[in-house]
Formats: sequence, structure tokens, C-alpha cells
Amino acid sequence: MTSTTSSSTHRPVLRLDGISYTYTGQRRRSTVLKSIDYSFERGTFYTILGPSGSGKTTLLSLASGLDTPTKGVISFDGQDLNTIGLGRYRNKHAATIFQQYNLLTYMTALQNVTTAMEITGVKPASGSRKARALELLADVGLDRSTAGRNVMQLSGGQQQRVAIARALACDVDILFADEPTGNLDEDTAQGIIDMFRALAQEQGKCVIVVTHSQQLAAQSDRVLTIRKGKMTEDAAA
Amino acid sequence: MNFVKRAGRSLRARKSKTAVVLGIFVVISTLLLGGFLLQGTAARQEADAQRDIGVDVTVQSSGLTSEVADRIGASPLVSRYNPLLVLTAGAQGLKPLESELPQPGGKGDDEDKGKGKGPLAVNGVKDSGLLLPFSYGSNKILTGRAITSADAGRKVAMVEQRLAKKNGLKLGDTIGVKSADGQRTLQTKIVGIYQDAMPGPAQWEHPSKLPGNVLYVPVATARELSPGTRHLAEAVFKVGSPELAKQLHDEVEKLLGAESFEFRVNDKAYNDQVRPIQQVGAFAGLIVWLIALAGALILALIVALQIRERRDELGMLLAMGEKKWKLIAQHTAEVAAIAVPAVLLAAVIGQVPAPFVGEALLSGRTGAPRMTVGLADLGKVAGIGLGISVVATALPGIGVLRLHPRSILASGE
Repeated sequence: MTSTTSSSTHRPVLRLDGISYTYTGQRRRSTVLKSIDYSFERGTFYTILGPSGSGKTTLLSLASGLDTPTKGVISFDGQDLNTIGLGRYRNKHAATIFQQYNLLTYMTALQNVTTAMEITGVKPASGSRKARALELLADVGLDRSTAGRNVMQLSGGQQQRVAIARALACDVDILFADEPTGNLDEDTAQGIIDMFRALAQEQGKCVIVVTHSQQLAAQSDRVLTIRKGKMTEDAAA
Repeated sequence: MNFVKRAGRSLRARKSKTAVVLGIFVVISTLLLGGFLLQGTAARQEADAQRDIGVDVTVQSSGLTSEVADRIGASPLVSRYNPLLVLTAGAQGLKPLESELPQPGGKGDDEDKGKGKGPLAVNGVKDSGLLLPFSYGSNKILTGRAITSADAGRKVAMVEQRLAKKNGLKLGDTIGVKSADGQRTLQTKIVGIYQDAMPGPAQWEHPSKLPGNVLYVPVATARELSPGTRHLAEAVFKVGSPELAKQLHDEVEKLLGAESFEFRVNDKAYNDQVRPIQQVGAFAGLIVWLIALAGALILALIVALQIRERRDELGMLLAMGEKKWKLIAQHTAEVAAIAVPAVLLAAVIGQVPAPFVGEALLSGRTGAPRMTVGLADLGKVAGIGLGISVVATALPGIGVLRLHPRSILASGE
């Protein structure tokens, strides 16, 4: 299914053309994604649903430039990711919030966020990287004293919020998230969902979230479902 | 340069692991420094030994004159040399020693055997210390000093203690000798009294053959007694090593012609004292390389284990688009940052065992070894330490280059 829009804020940013992905094991090959075509747009908050093992995370990995499809082409702003370079794409255009957080364990929450800004070369329009990082951490509900603690001293929920702040700090065009609210309480989870919506609607970002949560999906602009290797857009969304 | 900042943060956060790597690096650096110190000390000892002991080459030839000896002695291969001009002379106001044994066949034979000979043996030398009896210690100076090249042309002499005793001679006294034909006389001042360990002969000998009647004077002084005598009994040349002695042989051959000279190389002292030092030096060199190799391997294994342990971190950094070379550079910076204090610590620690090691391996050869940590040694250790850091991270770094963020991060799911 292909999304279409005529609005300039909703112009296509990421396009999947005939994407297939096959895992090759020692004895058998398993195709988890079969010829997926889809166009993601700016200013839109997407959720991708599907049963466990359906290929949601694999699709996220391909779309975020962490891996390459077995078949098909993924393009960003009309340019093949392989032409841009996966490293450069990840560095300048896409950020991912991982289910396992994947924080830098020898750093504080604040350092995790500033390090991401340093690697991606993000310089805040005003103020220092540290000030911007503290602002983002505050946005996800982490105060200054928590920001100064090593991430291994934080709870799972706090670590999840650091991971979100880190991804937001990268100031990219597309934000990917894999079960970002799984470890959060209801209020904090809602705060994060609101933040994703605001990123899409106010800043024109494309937000793509893989989730099992129907609550989260209900608040997204578009709901996609992967089943038996095919992706379909929920007609009710 | 954010990888440097990350390296610093990583080192601070992983204090116990940093301490372990530091400890290993200190041990490696100390051993390396010890190896370099031993190598350097052995090289200095070897150079000293070559200069002090060296190899004595004795040349005898019918064509050997003072001029030829001077030309050979001027060779850059030769550090010292001594021409030996042997004359017999008569005594003037001096009683030579005489054989205590009866002369076989009566006085007449004595006259025949000693025909044209004085009772004293005057040895013209340039540097008496090079003469084998003195260099090996069978002759010892009891008082005063030896004849050296600084005495050239001076009227000085060294006498044997038996002659000195018989005549009541002491340092500063003047003795007179005259040429065998009695035409020329020479007054020399005694600057040294030596002892020749050789006892008197078991049978009657002409007085000039008695060890106690041998006088040593500078060559030019001896020649005043017999200006026409050009032929030298022998000349001894000191060179640094047996290899240099071979080169000297070629030079002597050019001057004297093949097969017209005798060329004796005395390298026993050299082999006894210098070869072991060379072996210690070679052993130290081998140890240095073994330690460097083992150190690089040990650290490479540790870094490889750390990289394996930090796969998620690497995956995350790659996911943010960090360049792979910067990941390797971060690990190199972490190891190199440990190498610097390790080298400094090794410099301090290495001072403690160095004298004992030096004493155990090199003492008693050419004097007490001096083993001190110098800037050059530290520089070499720092260089090798940095090399080890690079190698230790480059090897596991090959694995980093093959990393794929998806495979690293997916492994945790």
C-alpha cells in the first residue's frame, strides 16, 4: 500500500521499493519481508504493528540504515541509501531508539546525549550542547541531578527516556523507535507519545514506531501492519 | 576528536580494568627498559673492553722498522702500538746481575758467547703497557710508572727490582749505559721499578739474557746507543676485535708483502672477556623483541576481549554514524593513554633492579657496570609502548572494521 498526499509538509521522505529480506541460517532460509513498497512522509507519525517475529524490527533496521535489504531499494529524499552511504544516512538523517536502550554505559545520562550531538555534529541554534541536552532530558522527565548520574544507576524507564532524549538530540529527519514506551509508566508513556506527535506535526519530522501497543497506535497518524512478510496500511487509521 | 573525549571517559569509568592494563603495561615497559639498559650497558662495556682489552697483534719481520711500525700504527684500526727495539748495552757505574750458576766450559766460552754484547738488555719501547709480560701481569710495576708514548725522546728508564736492589737504585736516580762497542753513553733517569716474576735461569746465561738486567727506555732514546740499528724485534698493535685484526693483516700485507712477516693474534683475553659481554648484549636484544612481541599479543588479547565486551557500545556508536576508524582510534587512545604513565612508572621502578641485574650479568668483566635510565632508553621504550598500543588495537580493530551495527544490536533482542 502506498501513501499519497498533496500537502508540501507531507511530502515523501523515505521510500521502500520492492523490499525483501531473507535470513540465511545454516540449514534453511527464512524470508521475513516480501516485496514491500511504501512511501513514508514528513510530518507524519507512523506506528507499525504485527505479531512477534513478523519482521517489524527487521523493517526498522532496514529503513534506519542499520542493514541492507536482500532485494529492493530504499531511498531517502529520492536518493538510494547506498548512494548516500548508510553511515552518513544514520549520522545525518535518521536516529533510532532501541528496545534495549543501547546507552553508553560508562557515561552519565547527560554525556550520552551530548556524545550523540558530537558524533552527529549537531550544534544547537542557541546555547551549548550541554544546555540543549539538559533541556531534552527535562522534556523526557529527567531532572538535572538524574542527568548527572551514570546510566547504569538509572532504572529501566529512566534509561529508556535517556535513549529517547539522545535520539531527539540528533535533530534528524526521521526518528525510528522500537517499543519506546514498553518500560514506561502510563503517564510518562503518554508524554513520550505526545512528544512524537509534536515532532511530526510541529517540526515536520517523520516518526516511525514499531510497537505492540494498540494505545500508541491509536494516537499515530497512520498504522501499518506486517503480517506474513507483507505490510498493509490500516484502513481505519 | 570526540573519540579522545570518549576514551578519557571510558578510562575514568572503568578504573579497575584501566588499572589491570596499566599494571601489565608497567611490567612490559619495565622489562623492555631492563632489556634496553642491559643492551646499552653491554654495548658500553663491550666498547670499553675493546678499547682496554682489545686484541694484541704482534708483527715480526725482517723488514720491520720503526717507520713501518709507525705507518701500521697510524691505521685507524689501531688504538695503541708498541715497537720493540732490542739492544744490548754495557753498564756505566752500575753493577749488572750475573748468573749464580757456574759457566760451563770456563771463562773463555763466556767471552765467545758474549762477544759484542753488553751485560744489559736495553728494550726501546713506545708503550711498555702493551708488552705481553706487562699486559698479562707477569711483569708488575712496583713503584713509579710505565714508559708511555709521552716519553718519546726523553731520557727515562724502567729497571727491574733485582738490578735496583743490587745497586741501591730508587726512583729519580740516574743510571748510565753505554753502547755495546763502548762508543756512546746514555744517562737515563729511573721513572719506574718493575718486577719480572721469571726467576733466574736454571743454567748459566749471559748477563744480557737475565731477566733482571732488562731496562726499558723510549725507542728514540735506545736508538741513541745504536743509530744504525733500524730493525725492530717486533711491534705490538692493539686493535678492537679479532675482526679488526683480520683487516689489519691485510694492511700489513700491503706494506710488508705476503709471506714475509709473522702475524700473531692474541685474542684470548678478548674472547675471555668481550665475547660474554657480546652474548649478554645479544641476549638482551632478543629479550627486548620477545617482550615487545609478547606484550603486543597480551595487550591485543585484552583489547580484543574488551572490544567483544563492548560490542553493544560499538554497535550504538556505529548506529549513530560514527566512523569505524574513530572506534579503533578510541581504543588506541585508551591503550596509549595508559602507556605514557606506564613508561614513566617503569623508569622509576626500573632503577631499582637495574644495578643488581647489571652486577649479576656483567660484573667482573671490565669493571662495575653503570646501568642508569637515560632519555634515549625511555624514548625507545615509549616508542615501542606506542607501537604495542597500535598493534594491540590494530589486530582486534580488523574485527571492528567487519562489524555491522544491525548484527551487534540485534544480538541483544
